[in-house]
Amino acid sequence: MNAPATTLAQRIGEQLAREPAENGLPRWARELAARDRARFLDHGLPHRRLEAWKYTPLDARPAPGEAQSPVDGFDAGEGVLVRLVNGAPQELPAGLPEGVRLRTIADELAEAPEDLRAALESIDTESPADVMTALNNADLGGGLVLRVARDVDAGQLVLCWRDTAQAPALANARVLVWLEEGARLDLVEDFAPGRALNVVQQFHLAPGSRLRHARLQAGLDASWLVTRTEVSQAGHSVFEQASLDIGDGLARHDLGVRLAGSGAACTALGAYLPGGEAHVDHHLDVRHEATDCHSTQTFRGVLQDRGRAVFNGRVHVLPGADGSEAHQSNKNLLLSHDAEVDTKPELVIEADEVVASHGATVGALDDKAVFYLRSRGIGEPEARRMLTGAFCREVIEAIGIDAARDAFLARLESHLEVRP
Amino acid sequence: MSSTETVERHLQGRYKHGFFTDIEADALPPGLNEDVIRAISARKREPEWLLEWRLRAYRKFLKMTEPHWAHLDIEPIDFQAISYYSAPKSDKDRPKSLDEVDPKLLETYDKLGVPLHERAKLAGVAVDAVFDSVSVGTTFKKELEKAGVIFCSFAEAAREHPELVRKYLGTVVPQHDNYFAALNSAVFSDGSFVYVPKGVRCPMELSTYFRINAAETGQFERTLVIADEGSYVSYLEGCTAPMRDENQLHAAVVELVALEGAEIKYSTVQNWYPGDEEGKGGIYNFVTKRGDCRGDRSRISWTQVETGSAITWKYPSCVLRGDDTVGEFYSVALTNNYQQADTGTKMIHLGKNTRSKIISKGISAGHGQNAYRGLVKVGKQAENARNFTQCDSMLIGKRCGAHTFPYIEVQNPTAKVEHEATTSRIGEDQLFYCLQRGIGEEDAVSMIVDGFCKQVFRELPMEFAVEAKALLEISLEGAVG
Repeated sequence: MNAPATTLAQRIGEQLAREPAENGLPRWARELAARDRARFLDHGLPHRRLEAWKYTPLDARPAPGEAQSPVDGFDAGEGVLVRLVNGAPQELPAGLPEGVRLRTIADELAEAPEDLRAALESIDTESPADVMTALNNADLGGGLVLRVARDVDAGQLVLCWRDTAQAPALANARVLVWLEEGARLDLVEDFAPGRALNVVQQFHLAPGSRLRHARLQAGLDASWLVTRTEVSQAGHSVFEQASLDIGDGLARHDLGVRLAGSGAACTALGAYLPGGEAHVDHHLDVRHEATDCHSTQTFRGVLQDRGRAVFNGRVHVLPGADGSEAHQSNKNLLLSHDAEVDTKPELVIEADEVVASHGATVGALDDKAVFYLRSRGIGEPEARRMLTGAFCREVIEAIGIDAARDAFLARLESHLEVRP
Repeated sequence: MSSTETVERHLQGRYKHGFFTDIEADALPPGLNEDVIRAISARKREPEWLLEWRLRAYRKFLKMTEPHWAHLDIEPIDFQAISYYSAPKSDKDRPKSLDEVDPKLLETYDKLGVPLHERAKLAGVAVDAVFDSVSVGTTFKKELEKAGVIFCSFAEAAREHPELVRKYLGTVVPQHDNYFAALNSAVFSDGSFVYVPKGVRCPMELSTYFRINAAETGQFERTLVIADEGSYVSYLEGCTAPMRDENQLHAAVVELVALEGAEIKYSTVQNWYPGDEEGKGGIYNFVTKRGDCRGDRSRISWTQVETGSAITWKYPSCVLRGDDTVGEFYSVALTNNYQQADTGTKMIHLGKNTRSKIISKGISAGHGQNAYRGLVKVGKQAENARNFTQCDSMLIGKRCGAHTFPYIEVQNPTAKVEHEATTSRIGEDQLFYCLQRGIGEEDAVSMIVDGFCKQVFRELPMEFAVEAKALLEISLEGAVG
């Protein structure tokens, strides 16, 4: 049995006290870190009594493992690759296209631009439900800032997240992206944590910009990956996110999107296949604040062994956001007696010219479909694999970034080979 | 005016009119403590065990905190400012005849098509001035006795049938289930008790309306319905016509027990005072309703039409404990002006081959806020559970809200759970089509709304369905245009 989780919270507390991340930080950042360190020490890890963490109480989980990540990673192909080890970016690539600036957050903090300060201070961490963000603020210093100038296509950036044996009890990192008007970026992330990683990402999309974001999560047994992605979208910007969760550990993803400008569009796709003791939790909160915005959430889950999946998709259409269109779908295949799905597709609608729909299903594979395939001479395991694969491929095939789509499909196939 | 002020105003009013004289001694001063509970129990001539039961609930209540998770904006409630017992109004306080009743109220009755003799009773006219209803009630009572059905007030049941009450009270909704259920368990005023013996099909629809003495069950109603093996009962609660009521906070508890092969159909039409057009006043309706399909092959069906109350907070639920049990929930909830509703159901699948169906229709108009909140839970042992949920929302106007919070928790791979929801408005093209055919705007809206709610109205007993339809039309008056 692992050490009790209270010890983890204590260990994180000690870690924060031992390595004050304040060196070289401007005064406001030091104050932010100090305030949020106090908040973390006060609240501790998220627990069951918090609605947002009801099904994923970190305080009751076995403490994260201490394994070392595999070295291999996503083939960046023509893109630019940045390796982040224990949350800290390694050597930054040279020769980026003109108009693309990639720096460590530490370098940016030294200059302390106003927009960085505004971004870091913009997430309210007062509630105990936001304690993981408070923890991230308390440990500022690891992470990246990417800025793409007007009408520049930044191409593909791959972030490869890995842990080593020297990693702290829980590593924190921050990723901030600013896309100016008409700018484009394809961001691919390859997460394979061996221990615990807490990443907060903030994406700012100016009018007409486009960010496509693909994430692969293949955490090791007993690892923790907690990510929070906050996106603010100006008019006619496009944000597309796709995630594939095939890890063996715990993964919690929060996606918050503000459709703040008229005509903005956001798509979130996800496939998750927890088996073994894996636990995947997707929390989405899409706010339609302006007129004529579109949002789509499509998530597919396949659960095996003692796998557990949580889906909480919320669409909030604010007063005045007429012409909004929002669709949500979450379907799950439950393939084991010990697995569990908890899904909650929420709609909060406060405008009347709205088209909104959501659907959620939980069930097993269709026996008739399995029988059909068997009657065509396909063995049962193969038939099940085909049907399960098709169920998830529907989502993965919709990924816009070609390289990510192909790589994710390959990973999905090999995952299904191991766990049919 | 805040809710507490309203309560206080009424309380002061009572003092002024000498409610505390010897003649009107049957009212307790505001406040909540063990003595108040003892006094309530004594006045109802309750057996000792029931008093103990109330006190245990009160002690649990003291340790609980008021919940705030619902999508509701509730002004703070001062529980010490409420009087927890007031006897039914004496006849001399009531209007002597319909001539003294507010003409606006009578106009509503007219639109609803309420029979003349019922209007008087609903408007609170002294009972001896009402000719027909008493005799109707007595006839029904005789017929029920013949069938062996027990249908009486809760207080009467506690005295006459203590073995039944003791066996089932609090077994579906435990005392500490939630804050308001605990409050109700401590101070419940009265309510109905129904027992249908083995194999009996209750010969008529039971309705609180026809039960003598049911006119003022008070603000903390407690209902217990037991359907013994193989029996059937259909129970109607509430009334389409607006009832005279001066209590601000209503916290009722309803418990249903269906034993092997039994079926309970529970229909509610709720049209309490929703507050005025500015959102002032109105009733807080915080209800805990739960049915337990305790025996195999039993069936519980909830149907509700909720158009009244300033705030509605209720989740009629089914615990599908036995094998092959069925739970159903059909709901129409309408919020207009500043009304708020957070309502839905819980279907807890525990037995094998259990089935549940949820059809929820929410209509928001004016500044109304309407939320569906539901839970479908399939336990580990619940093989072959099946659930279908459909919740549709309709928005009328730009300042209202429609929200959906469905929780789905599945722990068994043989389960089939489906949830779907849509949000829409009354389309310009639909309205235009009707107007073009010579149908006025209000008629067109009520026609469209009626179509939207059809699936639920179909589940209501015939005469209730007709009234419910009329009720929606009245509640929506002025919402369009």
